[in-house]
Amino acid sequence: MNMPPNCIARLEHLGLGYRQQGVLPWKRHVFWAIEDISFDIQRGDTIGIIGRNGAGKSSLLRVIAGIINPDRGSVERIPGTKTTMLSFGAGFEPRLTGRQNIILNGLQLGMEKKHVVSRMDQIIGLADIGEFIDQPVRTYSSGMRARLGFAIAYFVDTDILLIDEALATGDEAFREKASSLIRQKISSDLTVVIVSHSMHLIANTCTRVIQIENGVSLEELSPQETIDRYRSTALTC
Amino acid sequence: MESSATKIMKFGHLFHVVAYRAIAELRAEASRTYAGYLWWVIHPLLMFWVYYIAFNFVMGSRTENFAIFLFAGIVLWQWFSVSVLRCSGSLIAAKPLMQQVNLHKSVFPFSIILVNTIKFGVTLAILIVVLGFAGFFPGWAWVTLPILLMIQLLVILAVGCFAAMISPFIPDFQHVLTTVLHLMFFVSGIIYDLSLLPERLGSVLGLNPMAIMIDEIRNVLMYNQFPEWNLLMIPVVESVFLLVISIKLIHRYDKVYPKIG
Repeated sequence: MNMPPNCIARLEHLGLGYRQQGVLPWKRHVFWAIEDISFDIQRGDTIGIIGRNGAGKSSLLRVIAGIINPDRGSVERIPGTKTTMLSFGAGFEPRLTGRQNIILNGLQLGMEKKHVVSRMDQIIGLADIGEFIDQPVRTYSSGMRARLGFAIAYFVDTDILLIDEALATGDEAFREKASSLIRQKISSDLTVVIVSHSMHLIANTCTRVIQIENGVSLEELSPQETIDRYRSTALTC
Repeated sequence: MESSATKIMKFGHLFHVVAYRAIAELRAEASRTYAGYLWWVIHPLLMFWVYYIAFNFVMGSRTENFAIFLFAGIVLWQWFSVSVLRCSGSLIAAKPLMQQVNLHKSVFPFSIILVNTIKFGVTLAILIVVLGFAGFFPGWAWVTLPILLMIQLLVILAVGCFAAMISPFIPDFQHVLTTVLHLMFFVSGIIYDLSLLPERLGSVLGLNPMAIMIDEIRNVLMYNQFPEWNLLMIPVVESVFLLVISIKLIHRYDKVYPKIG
């Protein structure tokens, strides 16, 4: 593998197609959610991904996470690199209590069981949902689910953290807390990739910004220039 | 390349995930009803009661054993059919989770089979109690029971993983499966003794792994009769073959399942 020394992952000419049902069941055509995306991820980077709805951002995160393989091009990672998608409570079992879901979700995110148990109190403290922690998750508000999901994912040991902000709900206070915690994580050695529509968040937290239009990554400029370019194209459409 | 140590660690982790998912599902299921875990005992007892009434009072049969014969067959059959049916939808149902979390997809059928095996364990205990009341007591042949149950578990794993593997690609498979299971119910010797069939038909049905398992396990439980080991090679060979293929394909399409279905 010929990657520059500080590089943790490299995406080269990614393409990702979804089969779509045609008029006849055997006539399917392929919709390319990602056409051509290339960039390097350096250790310690905080990369913001911006683009309009349907530009291929969420699919891109799934490819980086190794959840799906690209149909064209390649993703190279340094062997042993752990990648985690911050899931804001996907995969909660609604009939189990918050505590039980912490173990289930932690295990599914790749944590060791003893590791989850030893961090239980910290996770509960960060989620800050009071006595609801011993209630079934089906009784939670969507904000409470998001808090618990975030708290679990926050304690996963990982090298690349992927955040799809479109999934985030919760009140202003929680958002503030979450983004300041993410910033803390970012200042450590962690590598973060954020998908967001909030230019405010991107401008404040990201060291690099990648703009995606119709599944193609545009030429990388400085963060501010990329945001300006995105704003100008967004307005003309 | 991964060292064998990290592979073993990964395997251990997957085992934890399977076990905890199973516990989670059992708890969640119990919390759905007022009687909760009691249903594990009530349901098989009610089922036996139905057969007992049907064959002793309604149909006026004097052979009390037929109710037991049927109950034993149905209990073994349901362990198989419910597991397989639930497995067939497992990867489709898990799609939202798969899109967020990088989990090996074999986790889903395995945890479903674990759930149904735990429930079967309770039902088996009840079956043994019922057998005792009817005058069938454990004998020496019963020491082979754990081996026989392991072979049936192998059959369930094989067919379950196959059903889980193929359904996301061909959703119609689930409809076909229902019909096939229905047919299998009638040709697995649950409601009649297979030895009553004409020999040629019997030899074809003899390839049906569930027919062999039900017959052999029932012979142990009711007649204290040692199994015919060479006959048991049929389900073992069939299942190992199918299980290896299915797991390999699940592994191969691990990154494809989150995209389809």
